[in-house]
Amino acid sequence: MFEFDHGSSPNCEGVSRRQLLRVGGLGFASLTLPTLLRLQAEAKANPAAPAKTRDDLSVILLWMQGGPSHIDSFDPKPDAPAEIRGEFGVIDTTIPGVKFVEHLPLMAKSLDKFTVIRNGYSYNGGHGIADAYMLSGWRFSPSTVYPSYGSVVAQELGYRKGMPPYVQLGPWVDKMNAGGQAGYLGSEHNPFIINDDPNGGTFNIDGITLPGGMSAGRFTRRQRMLSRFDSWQRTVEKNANDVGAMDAFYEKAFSIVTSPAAKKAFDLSQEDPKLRDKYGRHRFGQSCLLARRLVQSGVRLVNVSFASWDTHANNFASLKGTLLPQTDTGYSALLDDLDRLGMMDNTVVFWLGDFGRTPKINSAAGRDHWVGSTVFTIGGGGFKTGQVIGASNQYAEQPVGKSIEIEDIAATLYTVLGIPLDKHFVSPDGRPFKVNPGGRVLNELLA
Amino acid sequence: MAASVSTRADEPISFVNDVQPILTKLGCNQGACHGAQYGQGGFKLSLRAFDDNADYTELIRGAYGRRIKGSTPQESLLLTKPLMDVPHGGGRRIKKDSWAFQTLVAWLKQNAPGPVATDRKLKQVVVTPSEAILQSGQTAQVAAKAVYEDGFEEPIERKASFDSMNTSVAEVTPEGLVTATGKSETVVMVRYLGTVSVCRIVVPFGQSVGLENFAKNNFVDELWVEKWRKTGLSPTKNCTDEEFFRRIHLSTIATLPTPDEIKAFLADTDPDKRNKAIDRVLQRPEYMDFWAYKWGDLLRNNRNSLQKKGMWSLHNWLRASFRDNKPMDQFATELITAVGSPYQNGPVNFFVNGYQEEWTEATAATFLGVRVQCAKCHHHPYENISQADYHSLRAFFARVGKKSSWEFGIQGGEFVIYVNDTGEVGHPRTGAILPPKPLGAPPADDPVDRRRALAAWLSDKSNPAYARNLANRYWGYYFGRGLVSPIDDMRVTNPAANSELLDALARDLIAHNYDVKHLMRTIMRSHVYQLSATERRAEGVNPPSAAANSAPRELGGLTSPARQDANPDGDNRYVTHFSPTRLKAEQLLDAVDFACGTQEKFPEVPLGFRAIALPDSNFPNEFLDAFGRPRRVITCECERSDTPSMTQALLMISGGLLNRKVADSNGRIAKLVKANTPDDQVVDELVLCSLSRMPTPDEKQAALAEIATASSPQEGYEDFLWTLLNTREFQFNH
Repeated sequence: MFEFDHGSSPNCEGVSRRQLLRVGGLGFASLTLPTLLRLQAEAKANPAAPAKTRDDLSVILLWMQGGPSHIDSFDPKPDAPAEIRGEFGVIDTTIPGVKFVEHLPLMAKSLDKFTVIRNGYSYNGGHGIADAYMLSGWRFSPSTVYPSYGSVVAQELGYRKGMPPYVQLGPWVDKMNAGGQAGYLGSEHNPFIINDDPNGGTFNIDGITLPGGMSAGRFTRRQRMLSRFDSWQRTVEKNANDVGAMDAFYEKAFSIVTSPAAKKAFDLSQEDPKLRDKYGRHRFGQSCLLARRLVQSGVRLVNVSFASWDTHANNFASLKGTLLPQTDTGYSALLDDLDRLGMMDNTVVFWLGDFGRTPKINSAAGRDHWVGSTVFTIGGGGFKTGQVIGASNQYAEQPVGKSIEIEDIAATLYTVLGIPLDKHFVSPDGRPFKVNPGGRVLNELLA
Repeated sequence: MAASVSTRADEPISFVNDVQPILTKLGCNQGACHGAQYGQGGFKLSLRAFDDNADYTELIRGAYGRRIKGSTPQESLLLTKPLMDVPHGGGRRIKKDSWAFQTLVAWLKQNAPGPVATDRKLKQVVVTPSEAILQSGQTAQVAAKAVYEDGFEEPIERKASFDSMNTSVAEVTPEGLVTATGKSETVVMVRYLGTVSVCRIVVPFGQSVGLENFAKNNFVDELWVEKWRKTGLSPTKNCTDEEFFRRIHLSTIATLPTPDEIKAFLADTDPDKRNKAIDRVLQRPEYMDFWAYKWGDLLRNNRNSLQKKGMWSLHNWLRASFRDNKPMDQFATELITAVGSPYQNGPVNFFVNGYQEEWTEATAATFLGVRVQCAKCHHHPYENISQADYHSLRAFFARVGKKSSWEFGIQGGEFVIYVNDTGEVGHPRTGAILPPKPLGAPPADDPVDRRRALAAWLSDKSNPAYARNLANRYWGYYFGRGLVSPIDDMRVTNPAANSELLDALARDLIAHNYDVKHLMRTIMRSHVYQLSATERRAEGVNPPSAAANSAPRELGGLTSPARQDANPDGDNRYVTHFSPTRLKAEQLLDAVDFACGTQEKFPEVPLGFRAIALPDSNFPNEFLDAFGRPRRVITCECERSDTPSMTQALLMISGGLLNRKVADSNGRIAKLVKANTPDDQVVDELVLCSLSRMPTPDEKQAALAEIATASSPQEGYEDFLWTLLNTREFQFNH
């Protein structure tokens, strides 16, 4: 038959959901009831494979929403023509011969604490889809919302020290395509989103402690009564989803309220003002610090969202003015701090964005979306540090040789977390999904 | 397989009718790629080929002529990029042996001719069949034929783009071969030269049972039985009187019934008592509060954009409209044709936000449920709305002017909306003057105020567009999901779950002169609305027993296979039972106040002003925000969030507001204690005022036992009330 390579696919990636399902191994039509039963029983009986998962591991995602320019950050091309090289000069890093742009001086000195991946390829060139794809490791599908890393971690490893497993700081994850969300795992695994600015004077989260003056004994009676009286939802459809989700939120909210850890975790005033200065007195810096406190208190995965990287116009002014300096202070202070506290070995810090940006500067002194080449940085928690992996070609247009895609990093991340890659989940409508679509585990990244 | 190069062997390849559809089908000009506002990588195409001339120029002249090389066609970037012979940000899109590739080569060999005046004009695309009923795994070919104005016809499966709107129901190959993959219903969209057409695919869920015995209260039930038969679904049982009574109050007036009202209704033996209760609830004064609040959301009533005076003026007009049950065609006409001061004439505030474009978009969204925004800049990707259609609709507002108060000698921020004598709208690309023209209708004008012609078209009894939108909205308000969903996304590629019903409701509404209470009554009287929230069980599966109910709560959210079997329509698109819907932020706060016997005090309004009666969302309240109160800045039902969250659970469990209300010294419990009410009567009243039913004997016994363990009866009552407010039974309309 005649065949268009990608047909009329709804997005740049050009792969249909059905093809992905085949990658996942089983089609819905072939799923027999005994298979479904077995999968569900397994999911229930052995939800976490607890012997293998890394209960001590935490993850901090630094999500640069909009798509950071790879050339103007960790993959500069100082020898390229001006219309590609851009306005920024370069500086040396701790690795001889490896350069960053001049506006990342602290990060350049911290390269011993992370790895730069320069052969990244982002497959997709649209916002919204990027938030869903990059934060889940699954290519976009119009009919399935795949769970983000935090949601998988929440499902697989659950609560630690009574703290919600998955927290998002700031609102900058595009929900148009349910980016950063739990998707078929159910909204109980959505992130606990904190929209308050930790750099603001009134940073405060209501309701995380017992109501004023109430004794623990009385609160226990309330919990007991609720479990007796709230049986109604068993008689109605759970598929209204909200009904079931509220159930899970209640369970967890009770544990937060009764734990003193939560209150303490959110209290940035307990930190030395000098350390707070070092992180930077801006939202991203203080969010990095809060992320560190949260993982210390038991949160498993924190997504620090950072807006405004979609620099179609005035790329250089906004990078130089705010985006790069704030990244430089916040990110480097976080790495130093984790190192100082001995937390580096069990905290993964992963910096990523939507995609790369066009090597060629456009007429508005901006750079547009670029699928061909992108940069990731990652370190800590068992990931090797102090190295550069792969390279882009001379004009940062595409990887030289084999590329690394988010599927691969996701597979590696799940492996480090001890979540087996052939792990199956069952969606509410009975479809089985693997945790990862077949990414390759990047041994070169692992210590 | 060898590819024949042209569909019309003796004719040259046409840029407009051959090359452009190929670029669309390959995805080159989609929004994420070169169809983006500034293109990608320096190459910009119009989104899905709405601008042939610009695209041709870009191809021929851009990139120093490297995109098209007449002498060596195979070296053209147009081919080497999508083949990935050179780096391409969009990856590999085409194969050398494809018909598309060879057509492009042939076009290049013909020296790449551009758009010409003699290009055939498309008259229509005929898709056959219009509906296919398939079993899972079955396939069917969708045929598409283009009919041109000169009478020429051609099959276009190779040129048109085929997309399934829900790939978990049916998938479609690029050439239109459909495979049923799941169960339910969807459409396959066929896109060709700026038109979209659909083929509806139905994959039945199973075999219906008991439809012949289903009591049909009105035409709503008749049409659902038809639909269930076709889709192989079965309805559940009737709801109880308690459920019915609570449901109509929450759905219609966002207010819980009082214990006395509930007891009286339950004791009533009149066989027609449900219909009478519906009529009573429609006459309640809270009706105008609630519907002013619903429409206040839609009309974005908020002081930040309208000033306080404008906000109150619009709010009061809304209240008066619903108090008088103003016919909805008159309601729309007053809004669309408003003139004068927004402080004095409420509907004028419709024109305070923004300018022509905002008015055009708000009009389409509010009255037609159509999102026209796309077509401002390019052809609508999922609807037959062109850029010319958008700006022709905008032409109705071309003569509406704003004059500030200093121009007519009044101090303060006032201004007036008035109608100018002149003013036209030009097409943004061609500059041609566009006459005012409603969507999908011939041009219409009015010598005094063009907007009157638009209002007349909306109110025209032969035009069902507005009535269909109203019927869909109100259906959505009553069932938690529109027949077309999302509720304000009516388009040809998003068909209704029951289009026959939507049409019938629209006809009925028009026949009753846009009496929206009649529509609500019709919905509430239907057996479908009075179905239980408990799903029908599969044959042989026992309903949950009392023992199951008292078992420890099961977490994790995995539904059992038996439930799957019993409820194949997971989204309940086909309303085989009543979907429980969460109380909206304001409803929930009011319900908490009602149960606690308290009143939330909002700034600037007297005590007793309920949350649903507030004119806008600028009354600071953390509880309302956490439960998804919208800021009212966009015309979309989606602005109000329905998603449950951890924050909400925390506020209900340990939040200051709720716990203060439960223990309020002038609240319900304080009064019951003061009156020395016996324990068992307290339990009755607390359950009645929160769950709108009597406690079961088991529940009553358990509550009394727990209350007895408290250090005082008051403390026990408080804990019991807190418990009731934290049940899902309280927090949902079911």
